[in-house]
Amino acid sequence: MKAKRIAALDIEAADPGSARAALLESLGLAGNSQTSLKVGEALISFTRAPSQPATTALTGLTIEVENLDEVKRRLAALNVHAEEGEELTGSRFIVVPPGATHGVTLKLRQA
Amino acid sequence: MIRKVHHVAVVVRSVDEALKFYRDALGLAVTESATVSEQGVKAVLLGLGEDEIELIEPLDPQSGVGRYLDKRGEGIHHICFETDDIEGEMEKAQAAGVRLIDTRPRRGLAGQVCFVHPSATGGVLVELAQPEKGRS
Repeated sequence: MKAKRIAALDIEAADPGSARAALLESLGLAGNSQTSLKVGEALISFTRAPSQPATTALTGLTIEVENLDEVKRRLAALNVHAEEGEELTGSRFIVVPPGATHGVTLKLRQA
Repeated sequence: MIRKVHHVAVVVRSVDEALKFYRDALGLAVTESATVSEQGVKAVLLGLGEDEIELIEPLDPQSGVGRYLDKRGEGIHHICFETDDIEGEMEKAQAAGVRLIDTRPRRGLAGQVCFVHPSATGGVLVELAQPEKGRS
């Protein structure tokens, strides 16, 4: 698979706004959105953890790939199940659940 | 200055087992592999184009990474941000009262690295890395 880059990271926190502010302030990062921040080309998004009390967790990783169809073929050949979808921008993606990826919700998106 | 995400590290029970997915199924290439004794882990970096993904396996269940794995299971362990001046970033952080795990840069798989304490970053474990020249 030819990957291009890390496109996004998802962080779950009990208080997503505070977690975002702490990361932003401690590292001197820039960011306008209340729910995300950008480092280089990667978007880091913060959402509320589904269960309370919860510790902050890095849950999701999005990777841009050059040829999503090739990735789908490779995974299908190994019987790895992936959900397919499409972004509002029209980019196609698949999501491989944590059970197949050693704990990561892995989104592979066509570049 | 922090430039970009250098890598995302995934803690796993067995790097060899995890490579069956990340290397063999996805087809990612291993760019570096080593035992990092200071951190008590076996670590492998795989290329993601401009960035990387790191698989880390604790060698000692009582180490920080070992305890993390025992408590939280497999999954993303930390984010590493790339900087071109790690000493400058550390000085800036310390001056701002940001709690660091390392007091000076140390050698890691990604170059000269240091860890920021999660208490300073909203619960996220952050690594800063200054890759060696010629690598990023």
